[in-house]
Amino acid sequence: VWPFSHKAPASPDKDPVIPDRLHAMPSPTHPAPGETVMDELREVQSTLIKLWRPDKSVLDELVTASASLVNLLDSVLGEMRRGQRSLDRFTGSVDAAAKRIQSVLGSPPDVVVRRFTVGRKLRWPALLAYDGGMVDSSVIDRDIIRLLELYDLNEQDGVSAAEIHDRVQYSAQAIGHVTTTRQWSQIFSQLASGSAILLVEGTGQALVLDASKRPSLPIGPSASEPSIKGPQESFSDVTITQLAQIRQRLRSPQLRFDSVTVGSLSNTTIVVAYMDGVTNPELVSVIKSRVQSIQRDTVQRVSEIVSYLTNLHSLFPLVRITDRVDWAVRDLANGKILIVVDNDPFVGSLPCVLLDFYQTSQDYVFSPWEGSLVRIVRLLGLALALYLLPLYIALSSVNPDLMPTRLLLTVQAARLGMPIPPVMEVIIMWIIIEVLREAANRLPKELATTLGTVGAVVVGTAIVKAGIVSDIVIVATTLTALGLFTTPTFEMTAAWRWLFWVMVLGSYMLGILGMVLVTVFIITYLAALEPFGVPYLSPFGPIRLRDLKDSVLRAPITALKQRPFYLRPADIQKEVPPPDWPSLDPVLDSGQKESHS
Amino acid sequence: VKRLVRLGVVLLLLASLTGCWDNRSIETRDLVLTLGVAPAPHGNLAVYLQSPPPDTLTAITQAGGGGGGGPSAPIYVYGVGKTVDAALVRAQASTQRDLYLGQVVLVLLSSRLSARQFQVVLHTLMRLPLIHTTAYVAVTPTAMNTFMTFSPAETRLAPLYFETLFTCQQCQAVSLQEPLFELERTSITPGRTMYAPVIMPLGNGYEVDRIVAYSAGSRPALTLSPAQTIDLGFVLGRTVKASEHVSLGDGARASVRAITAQTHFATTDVGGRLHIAVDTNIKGTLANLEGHRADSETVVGVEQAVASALARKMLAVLTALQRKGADPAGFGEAFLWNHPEYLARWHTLYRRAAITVHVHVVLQDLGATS
Repeated sequence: VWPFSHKAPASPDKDPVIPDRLHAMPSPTHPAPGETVMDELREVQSTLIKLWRPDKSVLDELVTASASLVNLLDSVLGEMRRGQRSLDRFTGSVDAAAKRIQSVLGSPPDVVVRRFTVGRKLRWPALLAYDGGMVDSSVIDRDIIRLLELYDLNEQDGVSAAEIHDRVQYSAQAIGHVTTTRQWSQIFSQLASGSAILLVEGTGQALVLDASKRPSLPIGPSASEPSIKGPQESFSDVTITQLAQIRQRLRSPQLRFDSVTVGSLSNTTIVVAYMDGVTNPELVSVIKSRVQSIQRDTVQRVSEIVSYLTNLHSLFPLVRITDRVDWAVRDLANGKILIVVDNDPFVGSLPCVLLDFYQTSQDYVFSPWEGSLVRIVRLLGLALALYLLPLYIALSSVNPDLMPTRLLLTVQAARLGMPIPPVMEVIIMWIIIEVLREAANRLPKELATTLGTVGAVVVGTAIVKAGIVSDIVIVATTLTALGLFTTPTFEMTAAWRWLFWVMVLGSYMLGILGMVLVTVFIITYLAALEPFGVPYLSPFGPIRLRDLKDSVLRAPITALKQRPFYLRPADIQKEVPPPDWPSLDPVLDSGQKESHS
Repeated sequence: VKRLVRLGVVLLLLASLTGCWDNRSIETRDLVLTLGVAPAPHGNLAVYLQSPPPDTLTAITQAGGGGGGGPSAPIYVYGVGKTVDAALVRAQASTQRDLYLGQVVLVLLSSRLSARQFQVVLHTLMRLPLIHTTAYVAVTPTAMNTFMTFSPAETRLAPLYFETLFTCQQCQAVSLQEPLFELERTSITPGRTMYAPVIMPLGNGYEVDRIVAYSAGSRPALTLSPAQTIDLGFVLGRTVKASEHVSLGDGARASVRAITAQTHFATTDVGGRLHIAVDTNIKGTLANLEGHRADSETVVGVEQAVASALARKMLAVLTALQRKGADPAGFGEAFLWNHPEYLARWHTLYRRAAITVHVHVVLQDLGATS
């Protein structure tokens, strides 16, 4: 027998005979087939224990699992006896339904199955099943069970099950959203989503009551993209709340939320949000089809969806993931698409270009001068992070002739007595920085601050005193780390941290020429990226002068009258000035007119 | 997998072909800041390579640069050979540390080099693969080993002092910098002769206020005095802050300072004789006036007196250089550009040339006298 033998089983001479056990109906005198199976299992268990004393817990588990299977088989057979054609349909038997729920879900502590009767006099059997952690218990007790138990209005003898069902459904309207279903698959799916399932004896339909009250994160200021002034609100992790947060800022009928359920196990709700009439409809169509085509058992976070939408091998992030509501709304209004995933307080905004990762909400809070300055500083920080340490390696090891004499003498003096070459200095220091960075991420906030101080002061000072690393490298490494921290989005730093190592390698191998070659490689790579048909280097490659107003520099808000052209929005105009533009200073204006006349 | 293997092979080849394994860190090298060349016995050349000592390096990185103890004597090595290359090889062989020529600040040539040696040295230095071609050139009559060990108290690192001095356009009355590539270009330009600043060690520092002019064939023709250097500087456009004192008659004297000049010259062939007309516009500030009021008539008088005095002195310098066959101003280059047929007999033509100097002085600011 496989896997102990490679030999194929010998084919029987005649067709096997399968006994028809399904027609053996249970009765007080004739036990159900399942009970026979259980008896046989118990006998096997006792035999096994006698023979070689196996682990009893394993056998217990085996028996428990078999018992669940027996229950399921019994309930299925019971439903089939009633002439039910589909096994997935609710037959109207509350007893069978209770067995089925227990057999499918087991007995988890969070799923509550409550049996009660409808009507004070009528006492019609009913069953309510729900997830105790995902529903409002006060609604369950007060508005469903108590209401139905005390129900006595116009109760008459001889009322049919269908009438009871209709009355119960009518009464349950007060709770909220009520739907009906006959499919067990739908019933279990809704149960897992936090709805309460009400089954009434004799009816073939289950009532799905929206009594959900899911635990959610409190809405607070954004932790990943803090801002000194301006809106602070971050997203909740419940989709409905997230959509409400967006709609609160975009009260337009053009706002569309298209929902897709993804995940064969998780049944996660994915919402594709966009502005109808603004966002490129072709882009919307592509994104929706890609989201719908995702076949995955579970989806926990938006980054998983993003991986299915974009180029998997891209070093640079192609979708900006943010928890800032105002930034998400800004992207929506510009013609981008948001991907909202249930249970994730971050949303994905796409398509994105490189400069999107260097812009923040705060840029628009202050004056254009401030906004432009901080953007330039961020790019300078990037250049510093990418080039400073490789430049040190190139100039001190490969091309000393390119360094000013006085600076070279200073570097040489600082390196006197150093036991390791500059490239090793840099590698050691950057590994320390990466370790400190990761350790600070893993620690609680209070400890992270302490760790930063310890890393910067104690380790830095100690390593210089030990004569392993020179002062100059400490300064350059600090500036490099600070330069990298100016990047406002976390996902972008990973790409530059990788490319930093490439740059270090290039500078060590070919000096300044190597750095130039790596720079050319980076620019070529960036120019080749085209997420969703949008050039990643837009608006610089290809150059679009109109979009430069909101790129490295930030023009005044009044000058930003059009949406980014590289997104190819359906409506390019953000602002249409009225034909008679009002004067900014009417008093002064009228005074001037009078004086001219 | 194939792509990864290919990428790995390319990276491996790149790493092995770049020669990065031989990279030397700067602290393992001796940065040669001064390169000196002097004649040696038996027609040989001696090359001196001076580097900063470690304690000087440490001192320049500390704030203030002060501290106890005087600076150490500069470190130098030297080698002797028939050529500069051979001498450099000998010099390298005399030390275990790598001599790095990519940061040479000062190329110091002995005034005792013969014309042929001078040419050979100049052309060899320009073709050394590592040497910094923007290094400044100077000439010294001092023995090279004396110069290399000279360590004045006020100048901790002499090459850096010279770099600052030559880079700064306004630090001296005459801007004397002469980069190596410029000297080499001059040496191969027909109708032009070289000149270079002269550096002489003194008690507490260096004296850098004169130039030596070379004749055709790279022979040292004339070493100008500091005053003559300033006068020639008017023609070369290098005098940036000269002063002049003139007598106005009846005991009155005037001083003009902050003199700057712009010079144009014209070379013409008049009946087979070269005429060189030098026209200089000078601007200055009337610094002092004794015995007169600073009225317009007096100012004009001062301008005329200064113009006359400067014209006379400039003509004297140019005539002296003409007699020695030196042409630092490039009269020949300008003339031969339009008259290349005179190239073969240019030197004769130049020696017989008639030189006239016209100076126009404008006092822009009457200074304290107003």
